[in-house]
Amino acid sequence: MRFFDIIGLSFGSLFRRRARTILTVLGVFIGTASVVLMLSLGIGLKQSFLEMYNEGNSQANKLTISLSENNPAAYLTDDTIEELEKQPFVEQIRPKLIGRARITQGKWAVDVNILGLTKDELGSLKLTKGALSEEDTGDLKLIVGSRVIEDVYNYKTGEYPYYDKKEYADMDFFGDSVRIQFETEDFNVDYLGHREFTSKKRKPYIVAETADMGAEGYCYCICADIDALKEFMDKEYRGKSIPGQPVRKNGRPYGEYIYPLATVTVNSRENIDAAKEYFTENGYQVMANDEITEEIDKSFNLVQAVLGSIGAVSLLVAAIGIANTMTMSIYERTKEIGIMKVLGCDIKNIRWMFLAEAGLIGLMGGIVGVTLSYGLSSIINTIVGPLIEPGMILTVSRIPIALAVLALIFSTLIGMFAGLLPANKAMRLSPLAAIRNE
Amino acid sequence: MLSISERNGGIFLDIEKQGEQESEQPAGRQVAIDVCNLQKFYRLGDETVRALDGVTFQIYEGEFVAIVGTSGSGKSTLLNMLAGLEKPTKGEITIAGQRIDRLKENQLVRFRRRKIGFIFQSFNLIATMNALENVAFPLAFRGITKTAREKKADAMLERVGLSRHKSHKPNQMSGGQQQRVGVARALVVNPSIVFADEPTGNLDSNTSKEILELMRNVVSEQKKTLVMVTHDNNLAHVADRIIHIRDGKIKKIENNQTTGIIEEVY
Repeated sequence: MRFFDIIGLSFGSLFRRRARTILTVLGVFIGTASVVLMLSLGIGLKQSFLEMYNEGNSQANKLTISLSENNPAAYLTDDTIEELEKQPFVEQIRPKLIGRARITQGKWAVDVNILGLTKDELGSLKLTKGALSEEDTGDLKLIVGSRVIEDVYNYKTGEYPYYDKKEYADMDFFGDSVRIQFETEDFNVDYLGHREFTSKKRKPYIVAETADMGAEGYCYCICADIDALKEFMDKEYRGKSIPGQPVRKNGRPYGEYIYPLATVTVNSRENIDAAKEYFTENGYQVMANDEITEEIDKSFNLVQAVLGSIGAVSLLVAAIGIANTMTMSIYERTKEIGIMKVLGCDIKNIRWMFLAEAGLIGLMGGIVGVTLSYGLSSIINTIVGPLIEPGMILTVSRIPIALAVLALIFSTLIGMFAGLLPANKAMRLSPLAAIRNE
Repeated sequence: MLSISERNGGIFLDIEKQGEQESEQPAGRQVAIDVCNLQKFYRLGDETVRALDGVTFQIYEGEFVAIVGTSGSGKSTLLNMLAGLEKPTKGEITIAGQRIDRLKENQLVRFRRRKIGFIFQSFNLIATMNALENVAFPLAFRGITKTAREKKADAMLERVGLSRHKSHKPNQMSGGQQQRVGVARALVVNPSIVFADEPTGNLDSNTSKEILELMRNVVSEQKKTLVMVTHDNNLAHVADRIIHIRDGKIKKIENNQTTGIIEEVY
């Protein structure tokens, strides 16, 4: 028998028993939708977190190194970095400088890290507001992180609107009355509110905003060009020691900047382990991006498996429904099957007819289920997303095309699997049923 | 040796069995169905029912043979076994040189698909299909395309005089019309043997005659072998030969040719 003749017959008999077909399909589509939705939540959550960690730093062949102990020989200076870059597995090392500052506007203040980034890294930041002009005006152009606003506090009362009341302070970083001061003492020395700042309140040149998370959490910082920052800090701290920078034994500064951390780009993923080993041996603390990613991967795979199996239970129930429907269908059509056998229909064709019927129920349920899942998924994202991460568009439910296609294939296979026993039963029915006269 | 008796309005001549049988047939006629000592026992509780108790006969190509018997005589069992729907307990059935009692189920289905047409008592049309689709249905099992099947089915419906009812569903047709569709369906596959199981059992006597006439004409014009089971002696007399069955045994075989009716008594 031709493929389309078998499919046509199966469709015909499903259409004949419309109500029952619809009810069985209903079971399958609920099952499929629950599996797809559950998996989409797993996938969505995992990807959202991975994105948050990897944004702006997406390659897994990056390492972040910092000093593991106070060893002057390993200080990350321009010279050391040049030396380290000679290692065969190193493609590039991007130093990072951290300055500390307070930004104020009226009663609002925020203490924030100013992160000096190399030009290319700064240029790769995704900006949500404003733009970074290429023009060199000699000013320190700053990119404010989108979440710096969360750390803003009331200078007079000490209240944090975001942490206390989940409200955002009405501070406008782009406004004219914003001022910036640099910290003069290491705030680690005295953390209890006594902070010392340069007396000059400057008007910062905040030119843009970024929501990039990056490896160092750019969205909680203010980013600037590393060379411009150095120049600026030179002026600010003229003659004074710079907080965070090590000093010689005699208490004098080193006269050149020592970078607290640097991002190492390893030339290939295979060399990651060798690079880690090398930097650890040379007195650096190494944080690898791939480790974080692996951890997130692992924990969310578990979440996904748990969610998926919850959904699978309803699909199992649907499969039992299909088996039931097929058994009924075969009981009703004992005579018809007999007639087909007498007329010379191959018994394998009979089995395929019923398998196709069961598979079609599965496929139809799958199609409806997947379509419905897409709808529900976007509802979940608009309602649940903001609840988990206010102010951020968090896509908690994602249905990749592959998942949709797999769901269709799987629901069809489930249907066929459920129809296997009934179909085999149909195949074995006696052709004598056709002869019996009622 | 010859005795004349009157029964059912016919004159039967008793003849010695075996040997002579061959000479009765025109020379060169091929055996289509060869049945040898066919037995079928059923187990009913502790009892063994002998539905068929050693039946031997031959049917020749192009012949119209009626198997006649009362209900429970074993005639239907015989037909079922000839068509490969039931397995004999013992004995041999050879059709077109093939021992069909030895075939497995899928082989039997293939054998039916290639060689056999079947006409049912209760028509057994597929309720959801119209006349044309019903006739074309068995062609689908042979992997023939839809257009080719419908062309053949169309011609066959024309032959049985139903060209105006092609798109009618079974429930829109009379019993006679439905059986015409049944006849067309059996013959559309160009079988070498057609089995008919009480084909007129559900029809009134006038329609029965028509259907029988049709079957006989179509079968003889296409040179098919036709084996019909009936309980009606009168209907059976349209056949070339009549095999009478009682209690699972052949009672006699009548030869219903123009020369007269010859009876073989067992």
